[in-house]
Amino acid sequence: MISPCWILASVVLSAGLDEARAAAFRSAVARVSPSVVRLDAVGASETVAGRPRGTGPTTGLVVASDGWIVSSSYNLAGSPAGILATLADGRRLPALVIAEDRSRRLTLLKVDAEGLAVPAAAPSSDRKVGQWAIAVGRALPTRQPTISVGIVSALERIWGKAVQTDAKVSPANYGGPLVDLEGRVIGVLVPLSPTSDSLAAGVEWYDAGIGFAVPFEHVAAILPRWKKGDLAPGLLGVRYESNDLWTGPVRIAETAWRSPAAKAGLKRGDRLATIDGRSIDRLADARRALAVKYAGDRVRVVVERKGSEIERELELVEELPQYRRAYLGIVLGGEGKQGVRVREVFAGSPAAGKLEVGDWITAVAGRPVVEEHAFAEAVACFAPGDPVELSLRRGEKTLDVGTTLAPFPVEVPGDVPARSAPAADAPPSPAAAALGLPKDTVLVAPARVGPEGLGIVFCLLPPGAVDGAALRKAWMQTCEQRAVLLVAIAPAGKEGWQPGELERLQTTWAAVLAKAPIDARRTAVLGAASSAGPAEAFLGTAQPRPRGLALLSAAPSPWPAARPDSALFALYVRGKNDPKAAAIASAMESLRADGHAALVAAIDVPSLSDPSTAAAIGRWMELLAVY
Amino acid sequence: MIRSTALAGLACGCLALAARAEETPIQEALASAAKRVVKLYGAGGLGRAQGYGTGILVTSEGHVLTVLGPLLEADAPRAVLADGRRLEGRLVAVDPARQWAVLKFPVQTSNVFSLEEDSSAPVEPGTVVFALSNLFNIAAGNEPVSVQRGVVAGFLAAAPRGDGASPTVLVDAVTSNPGAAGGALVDSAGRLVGMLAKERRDEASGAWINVAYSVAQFRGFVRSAIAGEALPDPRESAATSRSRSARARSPIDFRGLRMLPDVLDRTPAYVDGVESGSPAEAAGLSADDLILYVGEEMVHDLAEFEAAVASLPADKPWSIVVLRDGRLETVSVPARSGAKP
Repeated sequence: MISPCWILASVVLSAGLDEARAAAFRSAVARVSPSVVRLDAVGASETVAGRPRGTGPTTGLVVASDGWIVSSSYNLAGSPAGILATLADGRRLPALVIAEDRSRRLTLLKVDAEGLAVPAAAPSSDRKVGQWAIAVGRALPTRQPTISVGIVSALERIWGKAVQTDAKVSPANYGGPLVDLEGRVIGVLVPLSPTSDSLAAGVEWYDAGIGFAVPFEHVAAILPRWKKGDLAPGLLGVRYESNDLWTGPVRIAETAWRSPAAKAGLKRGDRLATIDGRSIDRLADARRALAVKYAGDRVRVVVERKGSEIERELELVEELPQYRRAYLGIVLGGEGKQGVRVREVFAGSPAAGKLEVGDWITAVAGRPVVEEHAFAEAVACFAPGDPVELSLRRGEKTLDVGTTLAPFPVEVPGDVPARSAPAADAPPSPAAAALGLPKDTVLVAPARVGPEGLGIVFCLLPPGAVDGAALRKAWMQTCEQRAVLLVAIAPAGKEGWQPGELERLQTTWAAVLAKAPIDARRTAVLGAASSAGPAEAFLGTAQPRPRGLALLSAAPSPWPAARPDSALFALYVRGKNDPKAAAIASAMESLRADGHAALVAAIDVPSLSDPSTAAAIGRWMELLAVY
Repeated sequence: MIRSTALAGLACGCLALAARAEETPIQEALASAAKRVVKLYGAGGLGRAQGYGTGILVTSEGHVLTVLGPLLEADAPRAVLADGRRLEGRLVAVDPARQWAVLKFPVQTSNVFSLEEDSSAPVEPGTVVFALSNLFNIAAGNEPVSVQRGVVAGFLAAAPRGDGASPTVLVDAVTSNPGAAGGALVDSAGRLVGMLAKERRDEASGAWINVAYSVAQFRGFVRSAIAGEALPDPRESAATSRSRSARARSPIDFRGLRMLPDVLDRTPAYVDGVESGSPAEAAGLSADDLILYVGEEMVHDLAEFEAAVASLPADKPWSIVVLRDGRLETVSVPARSGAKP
């Protein structure tokens, strides 16, 4: 303990404030140095996720006397074969990595030792900008720990996770302590960046006078939980209306599928009012309130919806699940005051034997559904494998049935129930002229339009040799049976589709959707061979976007990971002995992993002018309306 | 309570007084130190580009200590003194191993750093130091050199197989900059602590470190340079270092040790197996041992292990520390029987 008298005496006698300071620095370092260890990672890969990682020895700090050591993750990544800790007293012990803190870039290690010196933590109430701060490291080949002197530059940096210092922080002392003049640990030195979460983020600032330390008080407090496993940033699962950190109010644009926010019932348009009692006036406030939290932490969120406040407590998660389309196996047809009416039940589906044609579904898991879109939203909350309870009205009876949802089919069933023909007095389908279609467009339409409207297959023909008569002949029956409109368009030139033609396609698409009685559930674009790429390009730009993509003789490209309202229905019409079969199977599997419904229909020789190809596409079109 | 408040007040008062009192001495000390530092210029290196650097005056007859660099290839390196005088000088002596040089300029001056033990500064970690150098050639014309402030961060131990020529004083100011090498590191009384070394990376971490040679390291060299004593021939020194590296690459007798093949960027030094009846087997080494130390030297990967083994004498037993099932085991591999010293 250095008494003020000692400092005074030293100042007066030596008449050198610098020397007195140097003595004070040394004394502070002397107090912490028994707790500062050197860590050597042996045989670790030099790159992590394609980026160079820290190499060479690093510093660690004792955090509990029975062998617990905390360090920066930067030098310990790359799965080292072994880590050797050299304690301040010279003992060498193997160290095991127990857990990571991926939010604060710290690693927790354990050595087999007792009675290690645990440094005192500087209480956060004592921390002030401008106070002396000494960075201590043991990574360079020096006999004593290396020191760098600076001040505390800022408190609550990196969204509240770290203290900032102008002491030189570098690989020489990452993992070591930042101490105050009394030798108490302010924090553990780590490279961090406010704008990036990558492992090496912040390393570019080494020795630049911008260094960060995670408060030691926090490390000590979280230790019991950390010993049990990794700590990760906690996610709420919302997208905001604006990404601008500085403007408010903060409104939710979307909640991620089955995220904590979605489960708590937060909705699009809700305004975040407070998180854990902290007022949220702008996005930066929300970020700050959440950045300090780990997955598994509970937070209390208050949102304002239509003038009233709603309070929810929810548990943050490490990862948001990827949406997967679940399959119940019904088609709806009709909405009423009490619910939605079942028009078809698919054989072998989770609904088979539980639901009957003509049932009215009044609620899904207790959530009333009076319109099809409400039913769609309710069902989208479930994943394949989830049990679901449906409330029904069947004739005069009300009943509840339970079933377990299945993954969406991967093959188009050979028998999809046929629709009943429209009544004789149903309106006729629109003619090509009424739709304003270009001259050379092939239009195949059923005679009459039923109450659900028509599905549309928007076909981009490959260049050359398109026989309109053959196309009509092949599609006539399917269009009639499946209530589908085929609109087939040829490219302008013999070279095939040009990027400039997308605009013309969009105009035609928009006109058909506006003028024909289209069933919005069943819209698809179709391409074959060289028109497959253009069909995908059209899918990416068309407004409104077709819900389905059907391809012949070409593998579908990857598509952005799906949310319930953006998931794609993809179809590949496969031939016998299709040489592309393996490539297609893996492309379809990755589409499914990204939450899309990807199906295959097997046909002998797929061709746009083949009736069985048309029939398969027609059956698939029915699946676009299936839940 | 009252007593401690009074004490704190007293302390503050005294510190404030001391702070006022020290302003002048430090500024004066730095002003005189700056007069003892020269900016160096010369054309050399690739394309004989104009180079710049720093040197420190060590005798009243104009001897300047600096580090070896391309600018010294000039026929007549130039020095600009703190008062703006521009002089042409000549190379007097070099130490190629340590990369030091002494130049002589035609000047008589009292602005000289003393290298004597009683007048150079004793330093410890935490000592406040100042670096004076021509970093980035910022000091134009007759402007004095730039001053940076920091503390002594620590002292580097000699590398296990090093030649003892590495700079030893580590500072926490970023002194590792173009043109800074050869500058002066002084304490707050203006006494010389060391000479700034060239830009240097810590091999293990890849990070730039800021280092200086201590006065004790170069005192002898400067003395013999001034006295005109014979200096080691640079060519001879180069030959020595060549033969040293050749030795490191010579075939190694692993004494029955078979290591995991070197297939990764840093393959861990895992024992793949031991030949039966070999010294390695007799020592108790076995497959899957991870070798951590050879003698006192830590080995981080297979390449370091091979280099460490290559530098060991053939006729003495090795001590090896291995990590085996989460425990450290020390084994002694006996000398090869019949080995000649």
